[in-house]
Amino acid sequence: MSEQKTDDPFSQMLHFYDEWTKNWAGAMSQMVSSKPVADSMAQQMEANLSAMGLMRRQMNEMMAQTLQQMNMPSRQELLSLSERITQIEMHLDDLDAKMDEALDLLRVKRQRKA
Amino acid sequence: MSVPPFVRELDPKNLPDLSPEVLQRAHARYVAGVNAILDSLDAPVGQTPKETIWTLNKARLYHYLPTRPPEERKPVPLLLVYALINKPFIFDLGPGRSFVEFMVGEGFDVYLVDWGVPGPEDRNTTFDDYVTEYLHRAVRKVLRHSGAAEISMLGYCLGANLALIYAALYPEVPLRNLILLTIPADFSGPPEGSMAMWLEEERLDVDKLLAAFDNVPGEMIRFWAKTLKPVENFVASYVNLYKSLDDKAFVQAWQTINRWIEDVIPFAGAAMRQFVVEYVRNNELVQGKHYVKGQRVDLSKIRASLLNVAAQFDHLVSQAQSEGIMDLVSSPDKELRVLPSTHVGMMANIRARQTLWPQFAEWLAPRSG
Repeated sequence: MSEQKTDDPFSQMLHFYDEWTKNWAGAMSQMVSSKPVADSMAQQMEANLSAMGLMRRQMNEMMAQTLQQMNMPSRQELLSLSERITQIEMHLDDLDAKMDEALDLLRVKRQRKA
Repeated sequence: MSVPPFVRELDPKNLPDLSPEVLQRAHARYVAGVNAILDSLDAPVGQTPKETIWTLNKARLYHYLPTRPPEERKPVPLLLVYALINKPFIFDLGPGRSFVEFMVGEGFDVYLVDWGVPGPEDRNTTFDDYVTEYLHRAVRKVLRHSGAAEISMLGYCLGANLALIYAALYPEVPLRNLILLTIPADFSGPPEGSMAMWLEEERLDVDKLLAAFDNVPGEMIRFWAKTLKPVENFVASYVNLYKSLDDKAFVQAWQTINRWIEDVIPFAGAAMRQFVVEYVRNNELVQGKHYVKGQRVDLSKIRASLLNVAAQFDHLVSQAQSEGIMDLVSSPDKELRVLPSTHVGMMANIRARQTLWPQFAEWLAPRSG
């Protein structure tokens, strides 16, 4: 390692980092792919997801009741409306394609006549 | 006794010059680094000139404007299909580093399907739906728009799975060439790497995940992806930026990639469930057990010329997961290539334009006449 002074106060940190990363990058990757770490992450996520799922279900029920009392559409109703719009879009797209095909046939027919 | 070099560095006589001028310069450099990170979130991407020729729900189909005279263009159009997570601008990172720009420059007629950002209303959209309802219509539009009789398709990562399923489901479509980049298709071997381990049934309860969220949040996907290589993603990436702040080209490249990494989109719930349960855990694709709307996905029905590309240093998709399909497709013209790249490096590596992409163009050009 050079003993020459640099004008970057972070240079020592960077040299230290270079050495550290050489040794630790592989070790850390191995660690996260080890069974105990994967199990521990899974357990933590499981607990979080259980709590979030429960909270979400309760919130959804509460909101659905509130919106119903206010004579407003529920989230579920809006979502299914959006899904139906996508279905309509798909039908329009198919119609568009069929129209193109029909126009092509018509053009060929006209060309033949001419 | 030998002393490690970094310990010698800590010797007080090696301390750097800490004069006010030096500290001021270091501070300016630090600020430049922070600004480079913050600016990366708005880094210009997707700049190759294009037109939107089709939309459906959130999906968009782009046609890239040709730069070569008509007589120098390849008659068979190329449709790019990217994964359902992350944004497809990985194909078009910026001038000089854009795969789209490169292929357009080589005379290919390039199209790209952008799946858009799924909302809660898309939570029931499966992988199969993306193939039958979206990709099938996009291909129809490409053929119509280009006036071509045949089409080539390039799928990358999970986009390659979509392209593979499409090719098997619609053998009547004039698909001439199929390029698959880093396809995670065959999960018959033992789980390789952290991701496969995390997706195992005993560790991930998909029902619980989707009960908590309609779609898998992008932030969660990003965290999983970054945790696979924690030192590289949480530390080394930023240190490398700091070290190379004077290299404008490096900073620009870093910013666009960082934007792509940070700009993760949610994974549609039903698509995620299908991928994890049917493709990964049950390995239905290569076992010929996968059915889409009552029709079996039979890979032996694929007869298009096939270039299957695996990345040698891929920590997400193993070579075995990609090469498993080679014996299953019926294409008389098929080739497996293992390129010295990482998973993302296929498109993002600063030298990909010189080392990787010409290989794709050279393979595709004689098959696009």
